[in-house]
Amino acid sequence: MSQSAPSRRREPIRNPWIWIGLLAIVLVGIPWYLPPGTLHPLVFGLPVWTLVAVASSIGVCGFLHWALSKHWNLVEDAEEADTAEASTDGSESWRT
Amino acid sequence: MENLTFGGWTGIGVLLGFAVLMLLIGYFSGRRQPNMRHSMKNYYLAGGNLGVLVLFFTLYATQYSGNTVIGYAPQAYRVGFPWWQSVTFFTVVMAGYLLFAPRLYAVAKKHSFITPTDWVRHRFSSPAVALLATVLMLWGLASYLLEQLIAMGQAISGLTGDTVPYQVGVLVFVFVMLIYSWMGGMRAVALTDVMQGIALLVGIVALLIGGFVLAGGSWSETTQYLVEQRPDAVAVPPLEESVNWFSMILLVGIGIAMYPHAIQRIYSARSERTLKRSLKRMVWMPLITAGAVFCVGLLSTQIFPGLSDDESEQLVGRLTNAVAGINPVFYVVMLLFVGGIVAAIVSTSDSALLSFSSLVSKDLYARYAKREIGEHRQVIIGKGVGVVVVFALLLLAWNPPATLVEIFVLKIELLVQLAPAFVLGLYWRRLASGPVFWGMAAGAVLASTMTLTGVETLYGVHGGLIGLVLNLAICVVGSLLVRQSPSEAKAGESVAEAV
Repeated sequence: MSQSAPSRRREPIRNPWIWIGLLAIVLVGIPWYLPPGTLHPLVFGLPVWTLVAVASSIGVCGFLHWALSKHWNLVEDAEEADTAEASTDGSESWRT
Repeated sequence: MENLTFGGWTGIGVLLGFAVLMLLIGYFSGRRQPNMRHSMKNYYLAGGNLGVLVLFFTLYATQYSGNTVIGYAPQAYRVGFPWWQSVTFFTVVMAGYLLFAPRLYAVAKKHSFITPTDWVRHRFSSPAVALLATVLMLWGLASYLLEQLIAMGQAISGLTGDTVPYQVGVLVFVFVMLIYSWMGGMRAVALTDVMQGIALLVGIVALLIGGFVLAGGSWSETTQYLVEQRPDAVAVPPLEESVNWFSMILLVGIGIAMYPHAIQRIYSARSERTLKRSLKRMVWMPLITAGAVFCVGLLSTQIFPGLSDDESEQLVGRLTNAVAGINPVFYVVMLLFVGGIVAAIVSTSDSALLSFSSLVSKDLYARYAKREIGEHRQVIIGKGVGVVVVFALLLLAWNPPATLVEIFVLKIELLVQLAPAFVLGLYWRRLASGPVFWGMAAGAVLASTMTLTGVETLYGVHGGLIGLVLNLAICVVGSLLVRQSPSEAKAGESVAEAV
């Protein structure tokens, strides 16, 4: 496997903002900041704190999807180059 | 699961249909890989060549099983709205993968890892650390398998209305699982995961729709009912419960990502791009799976009010019965759904068993045998180990513990102690083997002691997490104090060079 160009390499763990953002979204979804026992208001048939928790979960899903898409590229370029090279000389045909 | 009114011989027919399908998949995937039995990589990792769809479904089957439905819907019934935490902690599992999967994938491909212990041995050059990690993984996997076998028996006897006794049902499906795993190895396991995952997903959605119909079609009515009858299930939970919620997110988020069979799926990906694309799909699955199961549990509070804790354990069986009675379409879908639950439990068990076999054959038998063991022989030994383990666990499964969720927490609390060896080990060159060993051992002992003495949490924080903090502290402070051996320093350097 050939090495990819260092400038294009990205690892999620190296970006602290990913983890700060994730922690913030997760913490908003847990109702620690509201008085225990609060029932109302109900919005769309749900207690408002649950609505916030649901929004937080959707936010975490979207955030992680974005992090996976934009902040992870270690050996992909090298692998793609190797695959293209292999398919050019016909050695790719065994793959399923 | 409660006996189903539509079970009996119809249920047996559905189960046999699923069993035949699994065997056919095993047979054909075995035929497509004639050299599989001679190569550890082919048998245990499908040649490291799984594509996006199959990898996605096999990751899905690793994270969710029939147990997620059978165990979590009653939990939502008992706890109420705060059980939304189950969706959050399944979502955070993907963040757990992000901590280590990108670099571990690259290192694993470069050094042709087969088992998670291969990484530990490569990084720390310490037989003691490798052995301790292997023992913790085997313990966690055995506990996980036991849980699945118990759930399998309950689901089978429920579906067939006890026409098939608990023990006979489990034995039949265990044989089916062993046969298709033997014939096709990891590829057969992953391909059956596709079939089983689709059955589970379709069934959960149908159960949710049926639940809505039975509850009157309005979510507001369920909430209003709970506000009047069980306000604690709707109200903001006490602070300690919120702390417990966050603790559970961290524990499960990191712990599930540390499942040995999950790590082997990282090794099995065809490419980084394939792994990323599979994980991107997985990110949304908690909403569809755990979210739907949460809704099913809450709707059931209105459909079946006043169930005791023990009675609520039978919730999914009761609801399936009721949904099947709505009309013939629901009847057929529910029949396939309960068959799908059994299949999903089998699919989760096979992955854990395959991982268990690989650890014993490669990291114990081949490592400590006095002579050189070839790969073909290791594969055979692994198959034998699978048989012995599964039947030993079956003896335990005949007397199942009452609440499934409690045993689930036990295995996670041990597996999470592997995190420093994987996450810190990948990024911190100075991490030394001695502190890793003592940290892992201390964390595991503390977490186990807390659980065994009934002190599962401290101010809402789980014993597993407290053990992990102790583990991390020993790893970091110890590594700053001790000098690395030349071989450890070289291994740390080589990880950085691998990417």
